[in-house]
Amino acid sequence: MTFRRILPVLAVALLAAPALLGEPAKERRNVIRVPVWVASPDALKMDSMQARATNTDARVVALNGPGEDLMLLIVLDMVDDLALIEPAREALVKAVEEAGPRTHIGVLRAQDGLKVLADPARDRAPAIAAIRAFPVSGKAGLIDTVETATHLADAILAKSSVRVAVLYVTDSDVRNYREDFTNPVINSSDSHDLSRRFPEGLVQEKFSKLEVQMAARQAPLFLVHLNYRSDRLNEAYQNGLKQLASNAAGAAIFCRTPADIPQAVAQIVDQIAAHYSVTLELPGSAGKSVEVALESSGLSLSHRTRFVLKER
Amino acid sequence: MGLLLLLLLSASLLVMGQTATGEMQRAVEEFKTQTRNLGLRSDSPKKRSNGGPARAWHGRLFENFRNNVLDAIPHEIRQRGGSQNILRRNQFGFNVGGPLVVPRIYDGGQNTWFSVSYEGVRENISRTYLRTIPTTGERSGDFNHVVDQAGQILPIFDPASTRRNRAYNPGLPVSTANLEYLRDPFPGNRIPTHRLDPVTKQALPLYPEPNTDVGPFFRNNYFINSPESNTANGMIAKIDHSVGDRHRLTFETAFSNGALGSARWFPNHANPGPVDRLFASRRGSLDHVFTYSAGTINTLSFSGSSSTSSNPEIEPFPVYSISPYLSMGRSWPVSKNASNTFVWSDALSTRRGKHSLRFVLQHARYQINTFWPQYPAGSYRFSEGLTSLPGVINTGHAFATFLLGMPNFVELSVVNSPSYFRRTSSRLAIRDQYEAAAGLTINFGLNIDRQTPRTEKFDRISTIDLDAINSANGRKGALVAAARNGQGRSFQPVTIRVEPSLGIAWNPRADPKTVIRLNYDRSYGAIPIYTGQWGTQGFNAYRTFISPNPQLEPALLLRDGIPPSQDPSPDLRPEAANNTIADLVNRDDRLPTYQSASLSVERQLPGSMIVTLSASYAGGKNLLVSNGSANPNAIPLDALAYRDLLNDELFNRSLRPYPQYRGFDVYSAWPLGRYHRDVASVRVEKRASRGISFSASYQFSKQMDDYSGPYGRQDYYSRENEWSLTPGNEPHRLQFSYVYELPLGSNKALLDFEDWRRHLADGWSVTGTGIVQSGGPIYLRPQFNNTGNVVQNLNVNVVPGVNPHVVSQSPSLWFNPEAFDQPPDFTIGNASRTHPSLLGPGSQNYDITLNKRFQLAVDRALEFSAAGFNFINRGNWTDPDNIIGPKHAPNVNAGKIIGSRGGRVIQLGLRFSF
Repeated sequence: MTFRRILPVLAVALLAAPALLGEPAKERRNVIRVPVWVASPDALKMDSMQARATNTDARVVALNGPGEDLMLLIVLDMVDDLALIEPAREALVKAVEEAGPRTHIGVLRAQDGLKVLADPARDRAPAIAAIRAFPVSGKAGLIDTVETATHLADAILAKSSVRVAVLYVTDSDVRNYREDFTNPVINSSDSHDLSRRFPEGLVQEKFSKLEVQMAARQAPLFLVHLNYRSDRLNEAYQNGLKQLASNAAGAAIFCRTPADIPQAVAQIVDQIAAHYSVTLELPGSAGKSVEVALESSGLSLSHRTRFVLKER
Repeated sequence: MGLLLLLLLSASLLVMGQTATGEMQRAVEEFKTQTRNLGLRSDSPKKRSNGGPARAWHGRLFENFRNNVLDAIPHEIRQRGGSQNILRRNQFGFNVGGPLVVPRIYDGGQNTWFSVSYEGVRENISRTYLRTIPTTGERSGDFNHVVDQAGQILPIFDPASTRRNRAYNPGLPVSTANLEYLRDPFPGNRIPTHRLDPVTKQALPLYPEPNTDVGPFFRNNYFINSPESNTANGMIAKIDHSVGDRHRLTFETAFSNGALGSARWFPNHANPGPVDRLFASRRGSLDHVFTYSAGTINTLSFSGSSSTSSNPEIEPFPVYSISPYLSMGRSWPVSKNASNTFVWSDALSTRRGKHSLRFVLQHARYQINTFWPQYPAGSYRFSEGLTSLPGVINTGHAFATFLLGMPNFVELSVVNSPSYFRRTSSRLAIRDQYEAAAGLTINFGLNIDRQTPRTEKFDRISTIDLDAINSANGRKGALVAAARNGQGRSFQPVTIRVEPSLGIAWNPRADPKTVIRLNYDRSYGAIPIYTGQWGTQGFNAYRTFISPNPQLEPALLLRDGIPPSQDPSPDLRPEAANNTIADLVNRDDRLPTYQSASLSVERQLPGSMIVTLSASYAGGKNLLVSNGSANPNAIPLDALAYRDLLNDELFNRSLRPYPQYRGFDVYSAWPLGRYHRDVASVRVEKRASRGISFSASYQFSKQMDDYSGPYGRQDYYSRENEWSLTPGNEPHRLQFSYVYELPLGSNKALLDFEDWRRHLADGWSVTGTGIVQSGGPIYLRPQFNNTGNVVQNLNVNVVPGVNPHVVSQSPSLWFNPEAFDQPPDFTIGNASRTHPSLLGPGSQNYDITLNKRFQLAVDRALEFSAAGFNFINRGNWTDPDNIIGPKHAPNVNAGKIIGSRGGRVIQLGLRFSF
């Protein structure tokens, strides 16, 4: 048999081989978890929900609501002023004590890298002890750890049906990071420098990167910042935090006085407790970027509308 | 049976309520697994990252680029017919930071981090100035075309022809009809060539030719557009190390070296422009933070910094001051200065119940080492007096006097040694933040400051003791030196001050959306140790030669030069400073005192907006003022009645409180100024939503004082008369900034592509700022000051019934000069130091930057930025001509604006971050 005769056979064999030898192609199945809030006191019900993903019907697979299992991961990032930190400790302790019976609370710290202080548990004592004993030391760590913290929450969401939320309590100043976002003047004799007229550039760049890194996260992120600051650098920083929380379906509250802190912590913990977690199965045709619309007759829903799916 | 089932069901529900469900157990297990794998637990296995520790390093490389090709031609250059402003600028550098690792020796992990930043600058940038220099005719002695401000020929008189007027009536004021001295004008208003001083003739070729004719009358005829060079290299390095949870050490060091090649005003060594300078700065700090407990922290810090500046050796050339023309030569042509600061501090923060307490103890040492002679080659000042008709204003010309080589004031600085000044300050600060009730926080602070006065390492400082008897004339006021004849090492007492502060933040009805803040504080400034060798007279000499009568005799003849000194050096005799403008140090314990109070209301509105209304007051007294505003040797104004007699130096001096001195130099350290400022403002902030954030503030302010401004006080003895609006305080100011992340690209509303196009659509943002402000109060100045050296800063007169405002304000007429007049000879002006309602032209500036970010990988990005400064290329008007001449010879330019300044500048930037 000449090579010319063998060639077509080989070609046909190569083309047919995947179909003959390989496993049948799996249907792609994308599942996302959408945090949802209901404006009215009526409860959200799975059978009354309609979901669409980028103009295609999507299936509501599961619904977990207030009163059901909730894992709240509190990340402490407090390094600066005791006058703000102590009210925050007290407010957190109160919120932990008053949390619902099916809420598991874990405590982590963000300074000098993310560290577990108390594993999630229904028993409040370890979490309270961790909050009370939390040392006010080190450098601010929120933007160095938020990606890992939300990754952790997403991993838990992927493995179980419980609701999961991340809550950062921070007093971070953008000037207090190990990484330098302030772009300080290095050459004081250079009087014609215009590059520092827009000092927020490095902060904005960092948040842009974080947005890309966290685009595919599904766990909601919440922030209570203990110190509202109005200088341009911190304004950009706090805007970035707000945007980050907003992108992740969460919220950020910035306290303007120490007296704001208890109310801010209570408000955001209530908001977390009130959220539904809707599990949606998306059609295989859904692209990498998905626009989600949820409806339930008679109810006003607020939820995150844009999701980026992980690379498959 | 049913009851049993019900009990079983209830029990199982109860158990479910107390123990975790299977889902929650799975979630908790996943938490533990993940945190172990991510290295977040104490029992996590040690991780070895792929690619080594450098993978955890982050940083950036950047370049900012500017070139005049990108820029608009500045308005001030275009108006002079120029076509370019040289601009070449490259600013480049890097930053890298992360865990500190020394291969095989040390792995810092999460405990030890480092950061290194470098920045370099290479620049040539043009600087522009508009000045007046003599015309070609004037240089040869021809004053035929030289006119006064009104355009009338300015007569030049021959000092050699001066003689007493036998017909002079001392009972009448000197005037053209009653001259005390007669003097002949130069024939044809031309100084004969043979009368020109030989030293002047040597200097004249060094004056450049006029190169523009902005005018009027040949004035504003020299436009300087010369590049400055700027080379700088600097680095900041930081190491941060944690020892457990309780100790953290931070070490930071920085250095910077810079060289500034100044703009060349003249192309030779008579250049009056600034000298080239070399800069170096070094800084180091070490902080230790000790967390004693969750509620108690101690921070111990030490920092030291040093900055030096010097200039390269230049060919010596005397300073010839020929107002209103650009002078020749430079003051302070030689310098070597170092400023060192060492600060030690310890701060303890603790919480006790509702009180957050903070105690800070700080001690600082300041050192200035300086060698900075002002006039090592001599300073010669020329006035119109010797070429005028004695006693008659608007005659004679300083340049004519210069041509004749007849200065009225000469000074030579003889600096024998550098000075090493020292000062310390210590502070105990206590702050208590008390949560008094729900929604009410009270802040109370108290600082106790101790300042030691300036000393010199080798006690080479001196002052005039205003109570010591001067052996030369038996009057009070004699030179004293530190640590000699019973004097202490310093001339001022050690001061201790208590500074209280109080702040209240209140949420009415415990509503977090509204905050009312009330603040009060009182603080004290320090008397700094200035760079410069002020206060070393005797150890160094200011050899001074003063004309006995500036209208009749020169201080010396230029051709003769400064005679050699017969005095010892150093010369610490009590009379060693006689006949000079002597350095005078304030010896009492007054310190600048500041007080402020403010009230603000913040209200959070829907849409992430916050509106703040505030009103504040600030005031101060004993503020440090300079020679223009403080003169303890001033002649009281009622002495103006002596009129022309005051031109006689001896008589003039006899009227001074300390007649052995021509004046005092208090530098900028005499505690006499007062100010008062009221501000009302509104600020709106919108935090990020839909990618937009902005803040804007409008401020209305009124500030008054009795000392500031370019000229100083008219009446040194009556501060109340000097109370007027502060020059430079713009009453209206609107400022805003914004950031807009464009809704384009991945996960955004528009152009949400998944293919290659996302690289074009993603990462666009715009940031901008703007300032719109009114002008500051206008200050007016009379053309002539014929007060016999009694009034240094003469105000103008107000013409009653004439409105100073014009109906249609424009550069051709900004205010009505007819509303003002030159005060008559030997009288003071009745207008205030600054006008109460006339404001200069306002200004606007808008900057914008457009950024495009290319995400190269998850943690790598390339960002391109194009920044436009004054991007709408707006020219802001310069201030109007503020010189008011006499009615018979008015300044034709008064009230007019002769140009605008500013222009768009573009900077392109590229930054790679990893």
